[in-house]
Amino acid sequence: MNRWMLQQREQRMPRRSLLFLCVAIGLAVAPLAAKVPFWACALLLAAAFGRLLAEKWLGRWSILLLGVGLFAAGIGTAMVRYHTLVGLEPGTVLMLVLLSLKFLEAKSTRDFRVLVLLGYFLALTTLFFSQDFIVCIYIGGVFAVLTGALVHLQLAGWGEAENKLWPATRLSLLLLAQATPVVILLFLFFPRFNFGFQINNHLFDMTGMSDEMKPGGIESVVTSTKVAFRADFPDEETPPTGNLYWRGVVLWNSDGLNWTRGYAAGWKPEPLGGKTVRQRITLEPHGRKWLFALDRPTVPLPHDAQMVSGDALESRKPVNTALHYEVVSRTESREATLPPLIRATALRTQEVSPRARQLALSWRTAAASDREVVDQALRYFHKEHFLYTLAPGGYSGDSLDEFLFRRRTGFCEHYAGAFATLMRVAGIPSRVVLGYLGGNAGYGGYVIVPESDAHAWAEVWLPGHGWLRVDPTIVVAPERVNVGLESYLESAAATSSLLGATTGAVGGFMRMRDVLRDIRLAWDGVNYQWDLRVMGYDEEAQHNFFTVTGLGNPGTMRLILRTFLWIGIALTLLASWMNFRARKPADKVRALYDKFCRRAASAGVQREQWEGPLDFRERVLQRFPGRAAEVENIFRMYIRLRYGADEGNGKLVGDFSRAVRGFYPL
Amino acid sequence: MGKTRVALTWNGAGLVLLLFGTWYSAASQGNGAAYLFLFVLTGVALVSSIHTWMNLRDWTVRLEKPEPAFAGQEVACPLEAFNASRQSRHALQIMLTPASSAFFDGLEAGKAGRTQLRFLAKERGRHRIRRLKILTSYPLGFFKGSRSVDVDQEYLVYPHPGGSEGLPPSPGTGTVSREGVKREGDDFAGMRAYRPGESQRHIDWKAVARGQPLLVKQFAGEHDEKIYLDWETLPLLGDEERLSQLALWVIKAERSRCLYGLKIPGLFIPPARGEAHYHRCLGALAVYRRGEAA
Repeated sequence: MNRWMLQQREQRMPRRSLLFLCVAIGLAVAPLAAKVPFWACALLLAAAFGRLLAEKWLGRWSILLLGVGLFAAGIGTAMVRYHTLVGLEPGTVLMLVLLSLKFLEAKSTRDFRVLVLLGYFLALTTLFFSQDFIVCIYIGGVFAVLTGALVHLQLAGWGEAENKLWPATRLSLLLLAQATPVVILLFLFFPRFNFGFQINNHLFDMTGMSDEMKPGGIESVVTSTKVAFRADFPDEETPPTGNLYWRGVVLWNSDGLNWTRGYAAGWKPEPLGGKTVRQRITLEPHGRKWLFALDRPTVPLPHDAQMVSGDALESRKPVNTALHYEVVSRTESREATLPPLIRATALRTQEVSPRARQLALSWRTAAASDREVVDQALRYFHKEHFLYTLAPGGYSGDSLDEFLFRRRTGFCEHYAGAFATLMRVAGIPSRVVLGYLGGNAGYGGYVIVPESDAHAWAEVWLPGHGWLRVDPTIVVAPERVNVGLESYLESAAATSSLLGATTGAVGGFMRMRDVLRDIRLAWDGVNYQWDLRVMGYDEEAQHNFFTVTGLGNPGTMRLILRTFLWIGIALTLLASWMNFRARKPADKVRALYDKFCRRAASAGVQREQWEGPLDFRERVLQRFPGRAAEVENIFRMYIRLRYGADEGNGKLVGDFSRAVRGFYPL
Repeated sequence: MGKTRVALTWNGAGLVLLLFGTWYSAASQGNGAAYLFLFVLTGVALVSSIHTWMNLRDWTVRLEKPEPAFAGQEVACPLEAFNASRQSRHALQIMLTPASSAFFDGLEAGKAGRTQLRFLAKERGRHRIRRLKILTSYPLGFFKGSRSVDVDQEYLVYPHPGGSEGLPPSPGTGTVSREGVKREGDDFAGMRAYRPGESQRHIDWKAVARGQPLLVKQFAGEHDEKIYLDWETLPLLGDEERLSQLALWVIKAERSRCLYGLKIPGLFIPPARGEAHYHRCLGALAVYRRGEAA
């Protein structure tokens, strides 16, 4: 009798628990269906529900055979599609296959528990694809159902035939609710490490900027509805939209309208002046390395970031998950001299057509200074009826010529590219910057920068000024710069098509759209706060929290110990509370009667377990013949409270209590 | 009430593995959502351990005296569990040995439940169940809780009936009284007074209803032939074999409805018959040179 172990009387999996689990697995796999090959998800569902329908539908050998086959298929799919087995998507495929096999093979309640653990892991996988607020809430729901399946196994695993679905779900939710203090403690104090190792993601649906600029390249980005990043300004009000030039990539290589990234040899971080602006940025994953910051970022750089040629920020690792960083920018350039190597790079250009060269040189000869050359070029774009449009069509052949002299329709990148190239021809060092311009105000003082706000502008080097931002798009479509692209396109469309047609129906539609936009903004606000405060609570944020709350820097080991101490206290409190609730005396009358019996017993009249009040009264009366009235009164009240119509009569309980307390048997 | 212990189960160990995996992936990806998942899973598991602990509190087990059984047979010990708390208890196991347990699916608040604790009677003698272990892995199966409860209940195990010797002859007649001398349905032969402990099967209940004393119908096959089941008549056997043989004889003699007495070293039980006598004889055999065994 020295080996105590817990037995499971019913070894087979109860049907209803299995149904519970199947629903949970179905919910867990649903968000993955869009991320990995559909067949893997379908296979898991088929295996789960097939197992539900048939108690035992495959022999051991067929499962083994099927297992080997499916495993090979999983590996094959992963290799063909992702060319690797290491990574999020191939890993997910293999896990789905393994989980399916476990379902086919599962027999006992122990298998069931293993399946639930694997189900937790499946739910976790979704969080590596997305950490949106809504996804996290959904996974919380999946978690509750999985836990409910475990509880259901306990309730039903002992052979109960009743329907225990609701009690199991209720207990699961209760556990979640009771776990909240522990979760909050862990969240705040559990030390966050950075292992510096990332699973290689294949994120096919990532859009965003590229590091080269061909006419029409930004167009695909601009039509995207996704958010590129969100930013807030902890120290000040949000600057006006027209000043929000978010610097991304700097392009050095000119080829007419086309620009590519290139590299400026001998580049050093450029000195800046003017006001500093601190920003906190939550960058959506884009699979590349660049980071965005207001024009122009400076030291101190964010964690794990570096400055690359042209004062552009770059992460040391590809941004595959949402990234939070804080960055400081200054607005003015303070460059006095341009190193010759960089000057050469910033003047190099491919052969342009004689007509274009002539145009640039004509500005040069007419101007007394570089500054005037720039002004003349801008005036040219303004005067010559260039058209700003989202769909300029493709340019081919001598695209610069075609753009400048024939079609004259284009997008920010056309203007920036053509302008910067012409500046180089005219002998002024120039480069192109890709980034974002503007952003929408979200609720709570932050800026949402959608991918559709992608923008390109030029920078020229003027003696005495250093690198100076010139945005030729301003002169063509000044509104674009001030209100953001989406609004600009909307208002342009409105004036062209809805001229004077402000009927009631259209007005209603517009109001409706405003309401929808408000809802969308509010929702974005929730998401942003979630991202910033919960998802973005990392090592640095934790450190800040400790500093602000005066906890200082306790060190990792002490932090862990302290966290567990606090969790222990929280759990002890919970246990005491539960214990108190379970034991709260149910019956005051009963307690008083027991007290009376104890007092009688101390005088030698011990009530027997089976003895009713009437019999006991006779014996007490025999023992206390002189106090018959008092004793009879006590018994009369007890019987009325216990068996009569006065049950729950508060006044009588009070009288009874006084009578019992006043009864001293000596 | 013994101390309640809560420990990790194998499944709980699996959970710990999962938690480490989650931690690693959360830390390596810097994934806040995975961290949150880790914390929620940890929190729920920790809280579930308190539920496990609570599930063992404030309920007690009482064992009732079981019917004596022969060695090698099953003892079925009636068991009552009473939930004195204000909450129901679930999925309870009450264990005597790893091989024998009683189970309760649920015990409602303030209610009692009854079942049987069944186990194999191995050896003859007077045995004692001092304590039982109560266990649960409710609600999630990540933790198992256990507590000892004192029950202190005795039970008697009779020797395993066996042997090949026939019943000894009656000393009066010299004839061998084989089993099956008396059969049901034999001719009615008269009435006699009921002796306490006798089988109640032949009491004349109609006479009792008329207000007469307890009378037993006697049948022609039933006779007051006396036999002695004597230890000394089995010299070739060892002690346990002798006891086995005597137990078998007691059964056969009771069945044959003759008057039988028992002689073992240090004890003589005069001839009689009936349930009380039957159990007295078997009880004497059970505890022969074995007062009590744990």
